[in-house]
This record gives sequence, C-alpha cells and structure tokens, in this order.
Amino acid sequence: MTPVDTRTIPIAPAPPDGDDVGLYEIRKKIYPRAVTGRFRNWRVALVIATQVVYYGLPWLEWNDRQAVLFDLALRKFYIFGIVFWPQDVIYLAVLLILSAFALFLFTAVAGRVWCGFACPQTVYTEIFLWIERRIEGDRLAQMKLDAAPNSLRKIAAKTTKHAAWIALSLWTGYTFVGYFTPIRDLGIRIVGADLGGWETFWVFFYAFATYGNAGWMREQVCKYMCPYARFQSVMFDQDTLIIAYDVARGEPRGARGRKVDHKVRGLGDCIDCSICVQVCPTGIDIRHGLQYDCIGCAACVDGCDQVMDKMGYPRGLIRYASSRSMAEGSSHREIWRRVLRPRTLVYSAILLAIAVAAGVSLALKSPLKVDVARDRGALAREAAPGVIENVYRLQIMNTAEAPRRFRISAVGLPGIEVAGIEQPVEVGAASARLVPLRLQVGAEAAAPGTHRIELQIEAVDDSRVARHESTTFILPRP
Amino acid sequence: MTTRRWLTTQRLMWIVWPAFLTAAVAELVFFSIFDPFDLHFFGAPLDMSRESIYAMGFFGFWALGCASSALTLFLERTPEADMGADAGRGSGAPPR
Repeated sequence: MTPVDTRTIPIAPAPPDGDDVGLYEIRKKIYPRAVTGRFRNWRVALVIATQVVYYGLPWLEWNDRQAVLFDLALRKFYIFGIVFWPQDVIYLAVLLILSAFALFLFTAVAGRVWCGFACPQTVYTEIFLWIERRIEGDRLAQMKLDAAPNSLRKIAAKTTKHAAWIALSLWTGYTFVGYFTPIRDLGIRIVGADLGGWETFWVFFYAFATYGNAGWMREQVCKYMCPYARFQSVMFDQDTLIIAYDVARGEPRGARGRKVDHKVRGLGDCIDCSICVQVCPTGIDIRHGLQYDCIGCAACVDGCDQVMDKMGYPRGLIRYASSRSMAEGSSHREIWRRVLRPRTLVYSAILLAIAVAAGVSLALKSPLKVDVARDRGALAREAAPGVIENVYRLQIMNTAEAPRRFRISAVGLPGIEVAGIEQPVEVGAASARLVPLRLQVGAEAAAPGTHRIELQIEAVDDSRVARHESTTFILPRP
Repeated sequence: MTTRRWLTTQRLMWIVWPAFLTAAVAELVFFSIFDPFDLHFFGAPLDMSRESIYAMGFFGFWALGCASSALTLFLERTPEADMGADAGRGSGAPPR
C-alpha cells in the first residue's frame, strides 16, 4: 500500500458582499414580477375579503356595543349575540382544534393553499408589494432603482414607500388593538393624545411586526420562521394537489422562435423564459420539483399559462396536479376523484363532528352560570336558639344582554331556608354578582354531620333558565 | 454583513422566535385559566391594571422561552464546532 497523500482543504463560506441583511441566511432580495391570471385574481379577491373583514369588523355595532370585542380588561368576549366568559374557555380550545383540522384537510387536498392565498403573511406582503409597485414601478424599475446611486428621486421614492408602509402598518396596529379595547373610544383617545401606555405599546408593536414581516422579511418568514412549513410534508401524500411542472412535456427546455416547430427540433414545451422564476415570491424554480419553499401561490401557473398562450401551446405546463397524476398521466377527473380518499374523509368527518357538537353546545348554552362556595370563615353557627346557619358565597353570572331577576331556594334538609337577602336578586346585563348567602335549618332537622343539599337558582321571567348547584350543609354536634 | 455577524443574527433569531411563539400560546392558556386579579406577588395582590399584568405576563413567558432556547443552543454546541472558525458550526444552513 502506498501512503495516501493527505491534504487539508479548508472549507469556508465565501464572504458575502452587498447582500441584503437577512435574518436567517444571507439573502438575495427577491423582486417578484407582477402577474395576471385566474389564480392571481383569486388571491386579490381573498386579500380584499380578509382585509375588509379585519379592518371593518371592529367598527360594527351590535346591541349598542362593538359587535366583536375581546374585552381583556373585563375578561368578557363579545362575538355578535354571544358573550363568552372565562368559563367558556373550552370554546377557544374547540376553535383551535377546528382550525387545526381544517388546515390538515386543506393541506391534504391541495397543499399549501392557505399559505398561497389566505395567510396574513401572504396577504400583507401582497398589499405591500402593490404599494411598492405603485411607487417604485415594476420589477425592472425596482431593480434599477436599487442599483442606482443615491439621488433625490431615489430618496423621494424610498421615503414615500416607507411612509405609506408605515401608515398602513400603524392603521393595522390600531385595528388590532381595537379588537381588545373599544375601537371608537380608542380612536378618540388617540386623537386626544390620551392613550394608555400599554395600548400605545401594542399599537406600535403590531405595526412594527406588520412593517417588518411584510416589508422586509417577506418570504423568509415562510421559509425559516413558519412551523407549518416544516411539518406540512406529513400531511402530503401521492394525491395531494401541488404546483407541479410537467417534466415529460416541458423537457428538454430551450429557447426557440414562435414559428419554429419545436417537436421537429427535439425540444419540449418549456421555452426557458424564466417567467416562472421571476414571478415567484420565494424566488424558487418550480421546474426543480416540489420544494419546501413553495408556498403554493400558483403565480408561476399564471405566468406560464400566459407564455403558453403567446406561444400557441396548450396551457398547464405548470399546473395544480398530484404527484401520482404526474407519474401515471391520469386525467383531470381522476385527480378530482382521488380527492375523496380515506385521509380526507376522516379529516372531514372529524371536522364536521366537532363543528356540529360545538354548534349544538353553543345553541344550548345557558344564559345563567352559577358558582357556589362555602364561606371559608366559619363552618356553622347558631343564628338563633335552635337555628343553625351556614354561610355561602354565591356567584351568579347573567350572560344575557338584559338585566334579569333570580329567585334562590334550597332543598335537601327539612325546613331549610334562605335568609339574609332580598329576593328576587337582580343581576345586570352581561355581568356577575356575588351574593353572600345564609342558609338556616332547625338544629333538630337531621343528625349532626355533613349533609348534601341543593341550591336552586331560577329566573323569575323564564323557569327554563335555571341552575341546580350541589353543596354541603354542616350541622354541628350540640 | 460579515459571516460572523450573520451567524450572530441567525442565532438570535433561533432564540427569540420560537420563544415568541411559545409565549403567545402560554399567554393564551395561562390567562384563560387565571384572572390576573387572582394573582399574588409575595402574598400581596398585584396593584396594577389587567392590561399591564397581561403584558408583563407575555414578556415574562417570552423571557423564559428565550432562556430555554438559548440554553438549548448552548448545549447543542460541540467541541469540534468551537475548534474551527466561527463559521464551522454544523447545523446552520450554509450561506447561499
């Protein structure tokens, strides 16, 4: 054996130069080219729909109050006709589970449709890009502007752009806080420069996050920060619709004139115009196959379809297709038939079951909640000769939006009586009232010891609005 | 930006971002269950508005998450990685 000549080859990353400051990697700024087409129309429609809801909802009124308000200060959530109390936290859990299963279902059927069309990151990036194009011009104009030395025009354009971005971000932050504290009142206090410290902080915090994420971070959020991007692959299978490039049809790619019969020259349908790369908001080449950076926005589909139209080739060189259909060449109908497969049916069934259960439970939600606790001070005392008294703290919560009166009674021991309060007890609209309650029983009513009793709280106007709460009564040894 | 600075920024994001996500969830769960007015600080009730307690709770959770992420990052360091150049850390994505 001859000695092997070992040499050390130092490996060091090439020093970057002149790149944008990326938070996760040294990032080349992406200038997505504007695109038109049916998927782009869908995205614009969703941007408008989601933002009309987001910016508009806090301004809606309902029963003389904000229709949707998560009042953190008073710990009450109003969603149109329903008032949620901290006790209703189960609905929050249900909502999260519903969202998760909906996401699983959409992902299994059509990949990252959420990312490409409805995710706030995509939506705000889209709005910010639109502003950028309005001010700096299209992709080429933006690249030229960035490469150009500082001039009055460049500084003016950049300043205008950032001012517009910041204005929109601040409005977004204001709207966000408006979901948690009444928005009209908040507006009045902003105008009067009378805003609380934390409110101011959260307006700016959310505005900063919007400005940073949609203006600067953009696709880096999807590529490096989003946990969903990392685990989506477990929800994908052979039949999931993904954005796919038809390799069999497109290759070998190459430039050609419009009049040339490319089949004769041995070329595929891809003219290698790189439009699909230019329009991509994450800057990938979809022709390399499915990549985790792909957010499924279908911008490349729109871009490529336009080129195919110009060339007179059939559309769909890049299209929504499942990997099975690409391998087997199955028809459009076959793909859609496979959408209904065990995986999606199971997700749908679970989703439906939880939604129905939550709906029923909400419909049957009682507008009365009661919480009873024995007074911690004394177990039992003699109120009058031969009369034993136990003291309780009764919390009555009226979740209806009108004041209501309740009658309180007790059963479980012979001759048990409610004392020390004026009946009926009135509880204001959507509020709670703490009632100190004294129950009295004759000393001879039962054997000494702990007895189970029941408190009955019933609305005066509607006997169906009632609660029976179990508690204990202690009779001391004489 | 130098590679060293890039790595510092990247590590900072590894610490701060997962902690932020966790803090958001922790905040939601914790304050759904506990009313800030029920909390006591060394035996005395907190003499603050609910909003202040929510905000401080959030930053408290965030700080805890940061500490945990930072510790993970610190323990994940191998001697080999420290021997080479700063750029020699194995797990980071190579600069493109």
